[in-house]
Amino acid sequence: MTVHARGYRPYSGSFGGPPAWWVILQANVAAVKATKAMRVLSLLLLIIASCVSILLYVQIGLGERVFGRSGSSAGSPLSALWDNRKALLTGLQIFYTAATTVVSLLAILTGAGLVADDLRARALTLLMVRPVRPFDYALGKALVLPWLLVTRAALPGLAMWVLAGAWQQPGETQAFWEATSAVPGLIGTYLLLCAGSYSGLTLLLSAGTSRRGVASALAAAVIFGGLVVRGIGWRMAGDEGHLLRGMSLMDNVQEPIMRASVEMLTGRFAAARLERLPDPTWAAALAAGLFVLGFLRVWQRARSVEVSE
Amino acid sequence: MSVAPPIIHIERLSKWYGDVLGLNEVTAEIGPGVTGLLGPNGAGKSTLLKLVCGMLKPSLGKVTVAGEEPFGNPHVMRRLGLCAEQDAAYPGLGAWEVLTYLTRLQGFTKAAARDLARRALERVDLGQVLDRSVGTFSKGMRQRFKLAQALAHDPDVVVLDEPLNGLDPTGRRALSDVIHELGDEGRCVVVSSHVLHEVETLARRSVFLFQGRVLAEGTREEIRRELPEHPLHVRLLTSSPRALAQQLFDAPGVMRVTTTVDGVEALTTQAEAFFEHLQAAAGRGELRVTAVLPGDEDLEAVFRYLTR
Repeated sequence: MTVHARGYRPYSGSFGGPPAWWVILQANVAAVKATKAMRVLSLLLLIIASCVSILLYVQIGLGERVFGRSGSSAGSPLSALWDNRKALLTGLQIFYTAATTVVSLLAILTGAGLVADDLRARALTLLMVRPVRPFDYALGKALVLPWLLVTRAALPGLAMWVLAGAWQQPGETQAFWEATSAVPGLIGTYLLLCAGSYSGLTLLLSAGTSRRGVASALAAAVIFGGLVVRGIGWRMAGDEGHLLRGMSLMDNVQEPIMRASVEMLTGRFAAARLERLPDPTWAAALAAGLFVLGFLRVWQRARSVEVSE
Repeated sequence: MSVAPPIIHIERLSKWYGDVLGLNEVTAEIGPGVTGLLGPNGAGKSTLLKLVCGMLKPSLGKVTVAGEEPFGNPHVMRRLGLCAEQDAAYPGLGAWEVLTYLTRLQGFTKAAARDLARRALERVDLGQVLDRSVGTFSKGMRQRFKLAQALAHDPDVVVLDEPLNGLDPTGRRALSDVIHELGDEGRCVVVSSHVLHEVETLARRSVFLFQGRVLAEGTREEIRRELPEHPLHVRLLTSSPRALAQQLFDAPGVMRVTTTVDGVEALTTQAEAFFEHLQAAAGRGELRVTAVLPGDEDLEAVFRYLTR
C-alpha cells in the first residue's frame, strides 16, 4: 500500500454509448458529404437520375396517354408490358452506366482519403487510445462508400422502378411490378458489387500511404487502366481475352444490369454483347476479394499503430 | 493525509521490440496526484506509457489500471486520457468538431460530447477559437488542444507524454497550472519528460527510468536519502559566513566548507548527524543561520547520482 497526499477521484464518465464503428461511420460520411467533390458529384447523379426519369415518363407515361399504344404493343397489354419493361431496363442501364463513372470519381476523389488522411494527420493514436478496436475502425471506414452509394445510386434506381410502375395505364401497375420484380435484386447486386469493389480498392490503397494524392492516383490508374485492358481483351479470343475482359472494375460492377438489359435482345447482336460481358462469378469474387483485402489492410494498420508511429 | 490505493500497478513489466529490449522488469506503483516519469531519450518512458494506455501488449509481467489490464480493454480505455508526444489533429476541421468526434468515441451522446468538448477547450484557454481549424494553430495552441482531447471525457487517469515540449514560458506556466489542478482534483496524472526541472515543478513524486529499468521511485528527498554514498550538499545562509564556516568544521562528516557572499556551502557524508549538530548548535545560540537550503536534492543532481 502506498500513502498518497491526495484522495482518489473515481471515474464518473460514460461506460456505454453507441458502438465506435457507428460513430466513425457517421463522422466520416459527414466529412465526405462536406467536400466540394461530393457535392458536385451528388448533384451530377441527381441530374442524371432526373433526366432518365423524364425520359421514362415520356416513353411509358406521357407517350401512351397522349399518342396511345402503337406498333407491337398496340391493342396488346402484354406487348405494352414488355415494351415498358424494356424501356425501364434501358433507362436503368443508362443511369447505372453514368452512375458507375460518377461513383468511380467519387471513390478516387474522396474514398482514397479515408485512411490516408488519418495517417497524414497522425490521428490513429488519438483514435486507438480510446475504446475503439481495430475492427471498429476498419468497419466504420469500410462502410462509408456503401452508405453513400445506397442514397446516391441505389435509391434513384429503385425510385425509377416505382415511378415506372406508377406511370402504367390504370390497372396495369401491379402487373408491371410483378413483371419487373427482378429489378430491386439487380440494383441490390449492383450495390454490393460496387460497394465491395470500390470500398475495398480505395481502403487498400488509402491504408498504404499517408498521401491522399498518391492513393487517388493509384485508384484512378486501377479503375481507368482496367478499361484499357478490357479494350485489349475485346480484340483477343480465347482464355487470355476472357481474362483481360474481366479486369475492368467498372464493367464488373455493371454486369448484372447490363446482362439483364442485353438478355432482352435477340440474334447475333445480343450474342456479341453477351460475349463482351464479364463472368458474373468472377465479378462477385473480385468485389468480395477486394473488400476483404481492403478491410484487413485497414484493420492491420489500426492494430500496428503503436509500432509504426 | 489520506490513504488511497495506487491506481496504476506495474509489476515486473518487460517489453521487447524484436531483439530490442524496450522495458526491463519494471515495477512501480502510481497513485492519485501528479507523478513524474523521468529519463533520457530512449529510457523507455513512451513504451511504459503505451503499456499503461493499453496500446502495447506486455511481453512479460503485468500492468493494471484500477485493477484491470488495459491492453485491448475498452473498459479501461474509457477512463484514460492520453496526451501523446507527437502532434495529431485533423488539419481541415475545427477544434470543437474534432474534439466532439473524439469525445463521442468515449461513449457520449452527440449533445453531451459537444458540451464536454467545449468545456475542455475553454479549460485550456482555447475557448475563443472553437471553430478554428487545428491545422492553423500555433505549436502552443496545438499542445493545449492535445491536453484538451485528453481531458474532454473527464478521465481519472491522465497520461501526458512530454506535454510542455515546444511551449513558450507563458504557455508552460498556463499548462503547468492545468496539470497541477488535475492532480489536486484527485486524478492520477503521469507526466513524462526528459527535462528534469520541468518535472520538478509539476510533480512531487517521480519514477526514474534509465535504459529500460526503474532506477528509483519516490519524492526527490526520499530518493536522495537513499543515496548515502554521495555526500550531501547543503547551503546555509548567514550574515557572517566566515564565523559559520569555522564552526562547521567540527560538524559530523563534513568534508568541505566553502564560504560565499551570503553564506556557506558544506559537503557532509553524515546528513542526519550533521543536521542534528546544526539544530543543537543553533539552540545553544552558537550558530546564526537564516536559512538551510538543499544544494543537491534537485532532480538533476539525483539523476546524476543515480546514473553515475
